[in-house]
Amino acid sequence: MKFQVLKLNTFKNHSKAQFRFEEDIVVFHGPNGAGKTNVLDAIYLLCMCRSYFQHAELANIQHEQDFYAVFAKVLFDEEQEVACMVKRGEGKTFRFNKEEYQRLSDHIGKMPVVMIAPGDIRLINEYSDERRKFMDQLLSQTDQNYLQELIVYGRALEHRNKALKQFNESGYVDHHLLDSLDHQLNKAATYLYGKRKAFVAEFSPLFEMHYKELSQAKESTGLVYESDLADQNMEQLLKANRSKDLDIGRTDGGLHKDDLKFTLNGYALKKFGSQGQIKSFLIALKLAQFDFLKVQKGFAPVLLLDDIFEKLDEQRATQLMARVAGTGYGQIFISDTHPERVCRIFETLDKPIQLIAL
Amino acid sequence: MNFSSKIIEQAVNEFARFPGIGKKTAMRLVFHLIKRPANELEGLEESIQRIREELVFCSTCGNVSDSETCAICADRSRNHKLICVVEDMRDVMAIENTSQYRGVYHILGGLISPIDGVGPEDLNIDKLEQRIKDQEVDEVIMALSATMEGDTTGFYLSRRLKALGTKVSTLSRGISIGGELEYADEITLGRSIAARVPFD
Repeated sequence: MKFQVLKLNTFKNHSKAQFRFEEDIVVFHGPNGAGKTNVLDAIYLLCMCRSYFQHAELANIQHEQDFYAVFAKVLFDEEQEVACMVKRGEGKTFRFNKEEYQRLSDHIGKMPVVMIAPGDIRLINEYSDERRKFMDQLLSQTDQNYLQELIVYGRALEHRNKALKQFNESGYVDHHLLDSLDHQLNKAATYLYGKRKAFVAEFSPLFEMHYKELSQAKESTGLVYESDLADQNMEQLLKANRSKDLDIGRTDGGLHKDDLKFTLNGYALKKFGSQGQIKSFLIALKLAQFDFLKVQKGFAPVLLLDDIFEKLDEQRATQLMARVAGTGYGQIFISDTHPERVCRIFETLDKPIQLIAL
Repeated sequence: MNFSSKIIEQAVNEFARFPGIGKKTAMRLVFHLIKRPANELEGLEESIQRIREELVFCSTCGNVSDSETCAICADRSRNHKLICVVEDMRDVMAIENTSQYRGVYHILGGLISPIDGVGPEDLNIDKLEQRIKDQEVDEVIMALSATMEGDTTGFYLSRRLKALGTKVSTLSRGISIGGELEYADEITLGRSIAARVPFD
């Protein structure tokens, strides 16, 4: 999979822009505010149907415009066109090979992508939903059914919470209805739990390998999947929690509380990791993500490195670049304020790059 | 939109309230009406009036009907011990068009969806239970949408109906007839493999 042409129309700060990609490694450079990150985000958007940074669709439209359009020619076995357009008041249309998707979820996984951006530190610092999102985004790209079940789970949970709230307020409880919703949740949760568990088992060794290589240290790392479903199924859990759930008017425990704990020598990374260790940990997670996608898909995902020097020192950055410029990696897009740094690194690696000034 | 006539404006606004009709289509419809001869408009007026005044819901199955009992429920040649449960009248028409079904129907009038404020008590379920008891029904077929809400409603009903001793079945799901496998959507195909049947 190779992006060949990218066109942006009134997308964020780009009124009209067109790029043609000739090398596997493309570096966008320019001062702050030139729109480097936005170009990477447009590529991400064409892969995942949504922006990496901005979840409010309309905010991606340039000020005082009615729409944005992002378009690319991408080479698979043959050339395909991918296009996304959002119009105020009309929502989003997404086309692949000139055909519009009925469900956006059908596109997820066709064009695997990994983004590494300064804000990724959230993955370590923030609540468990960030880590669930990490797993979900990965698994959705490799398993169509996973995404469907995830949608079903979310909807069923919303129904159950609404019903619990109503019962809580009215004092009348329809246990048959709760049984039915529990059953739906259980079906979806059983599938999702199985997939997440298998994923962590498969993903951990990939991650550990990258961490060891990056940190060149001996500390042991761990990814620990924590779930309420580890020793009972969702239906049993919901049944046991029912009276408590009715009291509080929402579903307390379940798959939606899963977490992926990061540890260093057995201790929580967030509390005990040094800045350097945390950086290495993050990059290793992302590289493992890349490897996982590549194995599952049978081809290399697009790699987007946004402002990588912002958070990494030059030594770590060089290490990372050396890694991704090696064999097995596909197309890489990099954004940086100072192109000399990147040029220097790739020169020593003897890799041709394409520089695009913004 | 600027109209030269208040009457036209009102008519356009009324049409634009229909599902799937926007302002532009509404305007096309209104201009079409203006050009039609008067007797055609009378026919339209009459049918709208009859919908309002004469149409009732069948007291047995809940389908729309010209009389207290609909044509399907009144048909003695149909199997009244076999009831097909559907969401609304459009589903009845879809199944009737297959010419494969000779039982009767029961219209729920919606699906359980707490987010939208629709609970079991808002659906035509009590009457279904009554029918099953009164008519010694052999089998109830759940013909509901293959969505989360459809599944929840089906599961809920099967729980309640099985308590009455009826056999409850549901539509099978899988590859559409005449469809090429490579174009089948992956989810349907995946489930069809999981729920495969013996070859006969």
